[in-house]
Amino acid sequence: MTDAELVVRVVAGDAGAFADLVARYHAACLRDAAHVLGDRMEAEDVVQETLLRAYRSLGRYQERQQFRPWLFRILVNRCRTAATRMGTQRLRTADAMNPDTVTARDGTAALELRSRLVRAIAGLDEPHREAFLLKLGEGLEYEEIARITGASVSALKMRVKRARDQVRERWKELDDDGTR
Amino acid sequence: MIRILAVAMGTWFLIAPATSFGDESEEARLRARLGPELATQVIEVVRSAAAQGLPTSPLVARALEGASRQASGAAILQAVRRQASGLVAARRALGPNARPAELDAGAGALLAGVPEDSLMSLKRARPSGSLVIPLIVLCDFVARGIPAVSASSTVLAATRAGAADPALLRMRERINERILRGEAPMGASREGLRELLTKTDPGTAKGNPGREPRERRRP
Amino acid sequence: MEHDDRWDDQVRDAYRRPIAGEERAREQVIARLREEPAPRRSRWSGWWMDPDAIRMRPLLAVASLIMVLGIGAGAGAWWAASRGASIGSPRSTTVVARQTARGIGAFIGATAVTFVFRAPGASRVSLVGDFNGWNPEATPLRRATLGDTWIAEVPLERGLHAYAFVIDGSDWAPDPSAPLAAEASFGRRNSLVVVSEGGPL
Repeated sequence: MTDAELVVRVVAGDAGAFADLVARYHAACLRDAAHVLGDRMEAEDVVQETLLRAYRSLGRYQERQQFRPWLFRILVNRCRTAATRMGTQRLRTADAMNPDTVTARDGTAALELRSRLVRAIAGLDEPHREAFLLKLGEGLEYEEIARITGASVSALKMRVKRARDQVRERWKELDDDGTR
Repeated sequence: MIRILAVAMGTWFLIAPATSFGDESEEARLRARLGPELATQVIEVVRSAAAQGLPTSPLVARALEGASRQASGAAILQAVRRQASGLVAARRALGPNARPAELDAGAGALLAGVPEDSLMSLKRARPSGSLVIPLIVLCDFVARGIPAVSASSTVLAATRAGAADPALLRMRERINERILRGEAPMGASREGLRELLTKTDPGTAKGNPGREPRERRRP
Repeated sequence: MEHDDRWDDQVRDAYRRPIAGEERAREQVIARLREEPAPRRSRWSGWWMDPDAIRMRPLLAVASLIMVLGIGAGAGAWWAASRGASIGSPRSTTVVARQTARGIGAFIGATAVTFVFRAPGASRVSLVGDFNGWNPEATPLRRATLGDTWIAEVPLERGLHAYAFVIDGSDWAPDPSAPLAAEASFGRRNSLVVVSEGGPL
């Protein structure tokens, strides 16, 4: 069943169909929020708020829109609010991501990657971080990211390019340092 | 503006409902029980609340209650408006994720004189579990004559100590019994809290099931 | 640019590693959603409702303005609290039938709540509340085997409900053992009952 079909069912009275949408998108929302905010617990709150808002606003959602960018737009706005609330401090330490409890398929290597990513993107401001994660992390097309963030495709391409350069530099530094 | 009007009218006829809508049934009940003018005014408040994502059933219920009690139209409208403003304030104090029942109970507490700060503190004391029962207990205390600020600190202290909902309800019953026996409300609440605190072991007691309480940065 | 592609993959893999506690967080979200009224499609889904087109705040401002000007019934997004099913209701409700203090009050069983009221000398007692539009005719209580005790079972949705008893058609009284609402509405106090998943009063 497509997202739009599920939405139709929810609005028609089958509220349980929303649980299916949650199942589809909760993990993606959580990883995006967690990387943007650098804080897993905050991210959980933001994602819950996002899904609540989405649920309440379903009456306003139109089938011709795609659900994912609609949902991610809410998420991005909630993240922005949360980031402001958390202060101008951009980096929570990588420990906030609780690397010890991450499910790792290949043991330590995965833990280092995660921490490294969070630290590597910590130097980015929010618009760059958003664009970078949605493009390289979620793998979305620029048109979709544009609808999510409200920025133009050309602006987004610039941001992703700059972000990639900066993150890759930082990434290498972290590797050379041997720091986690 | 004209364009909006044109689109609005056009869209309405296109979307003419084939299935029944929740909002229609609430509005129909209001129109059936209240006079046409009063119904329109009440519906306006209800819609405005819904547009803000606030629960509408407490407002509808309040209006229907007023009608059953044969209250005047002015009294009914005032009660509905008051309740709506209480819901707004409760949302402000309890946060955007607050459950409809929490907002309902919170509104009642605020309208009865409990400060917003108290609700915020309560939220911090139990950030993720439901606050419905603590708020109900708080409402009950205020109703029975315990001054609002004192009632708040009692419930807050109990919640901070990790008392779960059944313990809070038992505390309420015991305090109520004391008041019915003639004890002064404030003294009764002090005693009731003391009883609860001496039984609650802060090391093991937790709030409602949910995440462990943690410090929040929210105001 | 093989090196670049490999790096991109590393980033993506790092990003997509499962986050610890995701399942638990997801369960919590669903549990929380169960307490929300089900959404309904708003009567208006005009172009201005499209979040792609307009940001939220001006949207609500426009909607409010339209309502104030009275243009078009229902310009603006809203929905009323639903009387229908909420998420996950009621599939398996583990019933905890609990007695409140002193045996008088509301028993909670599944989603049916039993109301008990002692009214010596009454010829009829009915229940009024949020759930029946406060209509004194809607929910009469019946006499229990004890002459003074009146009883009714009412299916209630999850959440908070205010209620009272009406004795002989004119005398409104709260439930003596239940929590009271903080304020007297229309001059009289109401009682409160909370229905949660097998939860207490």
